[in-house]
Amino acid sequence: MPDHSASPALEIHALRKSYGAKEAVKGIDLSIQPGEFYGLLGPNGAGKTTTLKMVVGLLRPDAGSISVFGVDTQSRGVEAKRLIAWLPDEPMLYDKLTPLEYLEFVAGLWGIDATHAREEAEKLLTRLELWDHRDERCEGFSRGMKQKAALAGALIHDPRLLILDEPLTGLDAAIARQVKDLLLERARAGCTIILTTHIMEVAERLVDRIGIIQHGQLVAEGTLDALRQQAGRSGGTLEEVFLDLVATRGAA
Amino acid sequence: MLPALRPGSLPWLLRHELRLSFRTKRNGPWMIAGSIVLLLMLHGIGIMSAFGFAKMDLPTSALHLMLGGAGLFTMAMNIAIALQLLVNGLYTRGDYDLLLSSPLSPRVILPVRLMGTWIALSAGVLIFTAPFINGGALIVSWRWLVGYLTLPTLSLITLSFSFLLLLGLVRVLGPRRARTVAQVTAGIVGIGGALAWQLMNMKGGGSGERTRAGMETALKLADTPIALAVRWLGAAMAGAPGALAILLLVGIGGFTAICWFSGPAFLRLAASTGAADTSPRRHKSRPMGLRVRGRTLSVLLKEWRLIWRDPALLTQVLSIGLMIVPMGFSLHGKTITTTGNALLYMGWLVVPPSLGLLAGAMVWLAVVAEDAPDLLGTAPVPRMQLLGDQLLAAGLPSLVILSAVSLYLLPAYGMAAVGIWLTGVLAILLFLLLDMRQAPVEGGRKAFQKRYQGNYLTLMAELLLALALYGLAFLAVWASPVWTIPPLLLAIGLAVAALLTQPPRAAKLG
Ligand SMILES: Nc1ncnc2c1ncn2[C@@H]1O[C@H](COP(=O)(O)OP(=O)(O)OP(=O)(O)O)[C@@H](O)[C@H]1O
Ligand SMILES: [Mg+2]
Repeated sequence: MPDHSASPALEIHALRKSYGAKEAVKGIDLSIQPGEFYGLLGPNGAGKTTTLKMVVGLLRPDAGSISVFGVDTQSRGVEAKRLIAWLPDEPMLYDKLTPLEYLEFVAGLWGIDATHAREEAEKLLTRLELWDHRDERCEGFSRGMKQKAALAGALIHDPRLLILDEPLTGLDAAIARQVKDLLLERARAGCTIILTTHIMEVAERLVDRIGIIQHGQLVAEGTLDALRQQAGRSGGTLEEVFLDLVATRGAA
Repeated sequence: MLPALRPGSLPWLLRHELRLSFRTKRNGPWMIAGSIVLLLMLHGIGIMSAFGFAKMDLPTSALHLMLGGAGLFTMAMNIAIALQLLVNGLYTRGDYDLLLSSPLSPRVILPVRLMGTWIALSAGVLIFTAPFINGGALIVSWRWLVGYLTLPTLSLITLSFSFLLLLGLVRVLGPRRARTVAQVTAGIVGIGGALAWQLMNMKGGGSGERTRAGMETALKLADTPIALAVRWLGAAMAGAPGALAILLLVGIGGFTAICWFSGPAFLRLAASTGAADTSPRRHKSRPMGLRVRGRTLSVLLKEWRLIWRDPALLTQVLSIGLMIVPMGFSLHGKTITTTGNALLYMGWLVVPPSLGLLAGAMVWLAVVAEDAPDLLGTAPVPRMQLLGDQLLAAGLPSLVILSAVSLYLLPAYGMAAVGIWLTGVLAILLFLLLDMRQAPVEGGRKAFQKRYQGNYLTLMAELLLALALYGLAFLAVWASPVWTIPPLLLAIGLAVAALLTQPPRAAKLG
């Protein structure tokens, strides 16, 4: 067993990816410590999803290295995947399965202990107010309900690194609140969380540290205060700081 | 430059529709070359049958009867396809939400959508009939060219009818059951048509003899009232001016009337199909809650549930395997002498290729049309193991049926049953390999019927493969099961090589 605790939760070095001639990620370096809650921000098409998909093993990097708790994701993919959960921006469920059956399937894939999975499923579904819908097919769910079911699937195997792509997009205020509370709770329990979002308020309230990606490069990184300094401002909301940074760094 | 069309007008929307349908085609050089070869081959057959036809010198009444019968048959088959196309469009939505929320009149949207479907339908018919029409025009009479007018008109009538049928089904059954019933009906019409076609071929003898027998029946029937109607249709198809004029009038008039009068009904239909998926379907609650199974079992259960709970999909999948069953009917009553000197009905020989086709359909669903590739892609399981589970899920049902059939035959036919089993295993293996590499189509598993779109080479390859497997089954039963061993070893080698060097790409994996 490698000692996971000594290494960063995520370490990315000189990561690159092109789709044909289009360079989506142009050399990103990133280091995230265990227990950190990290927010990835950037304009549409900046390369956020592409970067995260390489981390979770859905895309093969053209160059660079990624390691999760010291485990190299390219040479020891399966071992790394055991530590990670991925929530895509569009919830992907099976229309004809119920949430409980979906969780059963996830539990089967991750090989989770039966008793633990059963308790965890009940806890998560109750917590996300899906318990009453546990025997209904997902085809009838609203977007928010699907997102919550997918989130339950991501959490049921107790990931040490939780990666979420725009988890709060399209959720109503009450559901968004449930999800945010659940994420903060996980973070406090020691789970490392990375999320992308376009909602500045989310980034401001939830995350410890923010990275801003633009044109496939990390253009700024730090706490909100650090970012304010980089933008040469003494105050201001994250939105103002973000727009400033994107305007100046993007042009450079 | 295209002429400037008034935005929102019918021609403007039609141009948009046609542009979309042409863009989805994938026209690689291989596709074009393959299509040309296929077209030339079909024209060869068309010209040859035109020569045969010219020699027969049919009396007009019999000719009209046969033409009319062929027309009716085409229409019946087209109902199946038209229903599928309409249901696919309406229920998978695509751009319906955009169109219907726009200020365009349903009297523009409906005819354009239907015309798009009509063009697809007519093209499908003409691809296979054009070589015969051209052959006839070249050898018999230029008047055969009227087929280019009558066949699309028949498609138009079929489409109008199918549309009304769908409207009626939705009104009576509600949107969700209507969808299932329409798809199952389409499947049954399709299978029934194929069976009927084969039943006509059931009478023994060569094709010349069969045609003569058909002609005699036709002459005998020529004056019954039903036959008069069929003859009238045949006359229209042969280009008799009066009948043709009426056919055109019915086709175009009916279509226009439907477009004009069912605008509001169409809006309601589209609105209800948009909501068809939202009523919750419950499954029995288990008191103990979640049950954890091993990985392989989880995958099997998931794949099978997803197909089993979707009756429309299930019929479509099963009808793939059934498509080749009619071959068995054409062999009805014919036997071959097996290695053990027993007499085996040749119909059994279609079992291996049909089960292969079934496995191919299943693997497309399991591997290519996976709904949650991100979940599988991030699961801590080596890709090959997961693929192995999916292949098992796809192949196991076919293997079970195959084994049951072989066991049933075993006591009476001995080695011949073994031959059928071995050929079946080969068939399943080959179709699994072939179909797991198909390109994903938009719409995932719901687009099952569209998986050959722009993929006709694969379709042809599969039909040829099915035919070859039928031949191999013949050899295995007639000579010795040993004949299946070399191709089986070769296939296993190929499978291993293919999986090692180039695993199939998972859908949506950028
Ligand atoms: N499958 C693909 N094929 C080709 N290009 C792609 C593909 N996926 C993404 N791209 C391109 O790569 C770039 C980065 O895309 P990516 O999805 O990573 O952006 P993003 O930061 O997640 O944007 P958003 O905020 O809109 O989600 C974009 O320019 C996009 O056009
Ligand atoms: Mg994105």
